[in-house]
Amino acid sequence: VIHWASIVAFGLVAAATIGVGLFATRVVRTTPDFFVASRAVGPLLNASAISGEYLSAASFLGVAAMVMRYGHDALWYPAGYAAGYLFLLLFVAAPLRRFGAYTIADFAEGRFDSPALRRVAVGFVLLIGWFYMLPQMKGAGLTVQTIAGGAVPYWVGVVAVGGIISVNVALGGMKGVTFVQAFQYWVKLFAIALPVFLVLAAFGGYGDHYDAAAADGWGQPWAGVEEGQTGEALLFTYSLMAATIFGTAGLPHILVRFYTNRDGHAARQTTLVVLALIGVFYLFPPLIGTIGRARLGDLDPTRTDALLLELGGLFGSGPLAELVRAIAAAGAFAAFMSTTSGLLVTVAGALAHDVYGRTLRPGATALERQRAFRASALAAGAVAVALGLLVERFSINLLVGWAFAIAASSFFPLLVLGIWWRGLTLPGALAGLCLGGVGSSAAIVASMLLGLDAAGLRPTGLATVLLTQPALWSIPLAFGAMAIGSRLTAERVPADVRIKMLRFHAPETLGLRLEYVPE
Amino acid sequence: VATELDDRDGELPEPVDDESLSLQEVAEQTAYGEIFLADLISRQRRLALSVAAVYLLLIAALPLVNLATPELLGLRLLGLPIGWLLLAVLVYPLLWALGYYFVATARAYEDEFTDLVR
Repeated sequence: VIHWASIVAFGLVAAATIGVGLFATRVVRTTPDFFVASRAVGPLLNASAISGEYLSAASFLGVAAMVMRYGHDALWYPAGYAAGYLFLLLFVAAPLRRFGAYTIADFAEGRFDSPALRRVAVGFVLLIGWFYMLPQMKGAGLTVQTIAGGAVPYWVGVVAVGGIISVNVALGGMKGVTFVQAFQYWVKLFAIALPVFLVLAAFGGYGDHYDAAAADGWGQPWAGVEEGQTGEALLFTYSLMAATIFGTAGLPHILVRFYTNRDGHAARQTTLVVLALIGVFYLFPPLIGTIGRARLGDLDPTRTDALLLELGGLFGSGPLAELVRAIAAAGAFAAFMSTTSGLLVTVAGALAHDVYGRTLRPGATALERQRAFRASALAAGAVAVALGLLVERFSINLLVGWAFAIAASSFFPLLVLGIWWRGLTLPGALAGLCLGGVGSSAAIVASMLLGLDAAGLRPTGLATVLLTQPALWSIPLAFGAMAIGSRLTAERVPADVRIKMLRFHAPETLGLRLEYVPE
Repeated sequence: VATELDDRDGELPEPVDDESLSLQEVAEQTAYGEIFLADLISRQRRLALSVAAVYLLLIAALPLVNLATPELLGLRLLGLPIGWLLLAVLVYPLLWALGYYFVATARAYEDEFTDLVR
């Protein structure tokens, strides 16, 4: 069956996204507007935009699917995704804003006055950005396939959605995206809440569904894990916690949003609003997983990522069923459009600013760099589409968890130590960034190539656990290498570290004006 | 210091408050400003680490409690087992409350610092 209402809903979300993007190009006049939305963005709008950008296909589709399949153990994902903002708030938000660094690369260079560290950071920005786009592409392919009733192959959605987003980013730039992102948070919240309320109203409450789902111990931790493997399961749980909790604060596409805050205090307030917005959102995926387990138990296990899109099926095949499907489809499109847009802006910005503007053509004019940004957005989107075609068999949520693990093992230690520890030196920072980032990436790519556990929550054997979710060793490795490397090269602590600390931590009520400016 | 940023933003520089300290002044200034700033940073660091520790201890204890006494987290509250309720619902208001406490306290430290330096 082709779900026409869902296809119309997709068309509407795509048209609204492109429309706001096009509208923005007419409002956007100057290059700074284009890159940073001119920083005139208030906390609620900014928090909606951050949440809209953050809640990706993983949160919208993947979490519910994983909860349906694994029960209690999958709850660590949303809890960790949300907790990430607490850690971002505690250690990064205000100082990063006060420092005035726009991107992580700006931070890396500004903290040590080192173009070399900047180049390494740009490498990781590209790695994390592209990696994070894979699950979005998988969501796009699967969603289009589902609403077409299986009539089109997986690649159609990947190519169509990837193409639309790339063109939109190339046209609108960041300012357009800010409004689109904020709008899409509310689309997603509505689209995930409404089907749930309808199901609860029609078929009984949370507790009833839980009881129906949990008859075989599904609601217990480590359900189905054999007696002797509890230790490994526990280790995996902690590793997953570490990746999700510490990963958010190292995600390049989220951190650029903090530059649009007015000052450090506004950055904190924005983060607090984000904690509320995504906290409300994350009440729903576990509930959907529970409903799925209780009522849609016959869903093909390889297609559980489409659970929310199939929820409409509970209402038979009438208009109500199609409406519920259409709303869910609209939310799904909002989810991968907003996240992929944010990632593309970040990746294209890194390519245009750093690879083109600094390395290939250092003398490029603002107009040339803006053109380079547009070309980069199209090229980076094409790469994401090509890679997205390869990941059909991996669970969406697992892929996102991996992007978090890499961010948690590279940028998170760099930011935390760079902001809070005077003793960090350039060699120490480089050593930690490379060991943690390369180590975690290598483990993840190895586990992907070895096909260890494509769904992701039941690795067995110590080596498999540590490869499938490396955060538990790669984060300490990065911190350790930074600390030891810095101690060994203590004479290379930057001479102006006092001023850097002042920039990070001096409250703006002092009236100092001391932002770091990259160019 | 701020001119390059203003170029980037395409705005006119804001008039600088006569009473405000310049970066140079604070940076060159002596033990006095520096001690206060170092003190502020260490208070902020302690605050951030404490809030982080509270959350991490609570959340990391959950799997261990699960292992030790599965019955305890199986008790029902509001129609759901406590273990599920904690991780699927209550964790979110907890995160917000910790965040709220941090924002208010960090701001208070900064206000005290500003009063001292001015």
